[in-house]
Amino acid sequence: MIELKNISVTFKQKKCEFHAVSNVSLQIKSGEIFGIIGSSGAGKSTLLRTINLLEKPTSGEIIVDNKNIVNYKGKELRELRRGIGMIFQMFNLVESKTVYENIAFSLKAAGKTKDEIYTRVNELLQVVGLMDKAKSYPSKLSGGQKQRVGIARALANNAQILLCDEPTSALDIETTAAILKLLRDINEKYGITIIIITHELEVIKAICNKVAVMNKGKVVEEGLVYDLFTKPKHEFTKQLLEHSSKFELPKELIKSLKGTIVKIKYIGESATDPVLSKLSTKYNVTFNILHGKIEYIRDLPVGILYLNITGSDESIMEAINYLKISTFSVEVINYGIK
Amino acid sequence: MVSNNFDLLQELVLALKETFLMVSVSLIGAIIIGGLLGLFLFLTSNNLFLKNRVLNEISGVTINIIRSIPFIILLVLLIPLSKAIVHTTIGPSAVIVPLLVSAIAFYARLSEVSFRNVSKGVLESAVASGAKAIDIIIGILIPEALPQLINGITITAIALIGYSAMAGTVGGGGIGNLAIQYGYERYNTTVMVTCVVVLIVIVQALQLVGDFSSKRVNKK
Repeated sequence: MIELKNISVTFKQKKCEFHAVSNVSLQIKSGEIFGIIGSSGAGKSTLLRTINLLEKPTSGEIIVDNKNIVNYKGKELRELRRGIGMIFQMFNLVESKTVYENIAFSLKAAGKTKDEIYTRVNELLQVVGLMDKAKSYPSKLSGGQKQRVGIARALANNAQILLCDEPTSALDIETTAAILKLLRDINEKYGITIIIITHELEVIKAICNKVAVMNKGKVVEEGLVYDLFTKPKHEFTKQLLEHSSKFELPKELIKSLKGTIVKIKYIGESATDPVLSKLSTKYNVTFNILHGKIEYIRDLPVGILYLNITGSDESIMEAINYLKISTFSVEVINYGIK
Repeated sequence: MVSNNFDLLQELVLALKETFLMVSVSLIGAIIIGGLLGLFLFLTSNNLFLKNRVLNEISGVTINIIRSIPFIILLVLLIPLSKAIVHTTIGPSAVIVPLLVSAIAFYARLSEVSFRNVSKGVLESAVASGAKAIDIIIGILIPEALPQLINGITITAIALIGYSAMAGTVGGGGIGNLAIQYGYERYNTTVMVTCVVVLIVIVQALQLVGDFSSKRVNKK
């Protein structure tokens, strides 16, 4: 388990102090995939880098496996770091070394023998699916392949924690999905705790169990990913969600339509219930689906539908009440009743 | 005019030997001592390693002082030092001392820049992997900087040929000396032109070899 207690990081600039991270406390359980999301400059990268002390916190405690590591130095610190792998947005591979040598470096630095290194590197290449690239130089690899090497290198010394600093931000959508799947596999297969920083909600949605939202150096909201997407509490989180999933009806369409327009949000169980077919059979109304989508957050469905309901005023009111009971939320965009 | 017992070829061979001696000794010294000094400058300026402002400033300023003295003046200034070390104030071995001093300062700066150009992220990832500083320096910093370090060696070697010609004025010998004594002072255009052509060829060859080796080790 990793526990951050009241972590602050302050950078002294010429005249003023800059609080990159202020008073952040987080608990990350073993085997979790924990996401930290926020816009750039929110301090999430700085926070992540305190966990392996690339950045020393100005105040606070970092507890890794029941030990406060904040004051680790020298050999103690190096040993800690061997147990904490890290991957980066720009991959940070050594250009003058082959894939094999890149992975071998940290093993060699940990004092492993040549035979041990040979076995382990090949094992890792298999895990990340790059058996045929052992002798290639990084310049000959694609972005996704480079990140795979990064992952292999990070896990070389059997790290139990993997820190990911925007690992997919330099990759295209397809490659992002493949890398995220690899991270998820590694997490499941080896029980490695993964802490991932990103500004992309998609990344959080795809692999994280828990998430913390950071804004201006502070964690403004924290919890299960599913809860964050379905019931965001903090204003900043709501904004973040809105920006990333623009899902609205065109204004012109709303004006031109007669009848009542409602926006229904349904999550979890209710997302798969046949709510709509009951709507028309039970309440003498007709409806038309204007717009809709269902997405899955780690296998749990979340759906949004825009409906145009027509019928008598009374039955529309009843229908809306029914929807309010049987879905997560109903928002009436336009009342079509007199 | 040229005296009868002047054999251009023989003189040229001798001068070449002298130039080679001066340049190679000071170049090797510059690579080792200057390179280490450049490494020291880099390490003391980088917070991933041994950031130390005081040591960095002291060595930086010392190098700047040496580099701001015109070579011809350094040549004269260091005569006592040459005398103490090589027990002579004339000939190629005497001018090796000032050549060495200025080449070390020159290459220290060039190598410092080469180290600085190594991606900080790459070094950071090595630090994050729990490797010792010495392993990172030998295993990552130097190999990553190598193409640029080699370019620096080429530049230093060519600058040294120029300096060694200047060293001819205080009796250093070498091609420069030949050009000045026989070509310039005795109005012998043939000697002058030959010396210049030989220098051009040497510089071109050095540049070619340098570029080739740098490219060879560059995997980017």
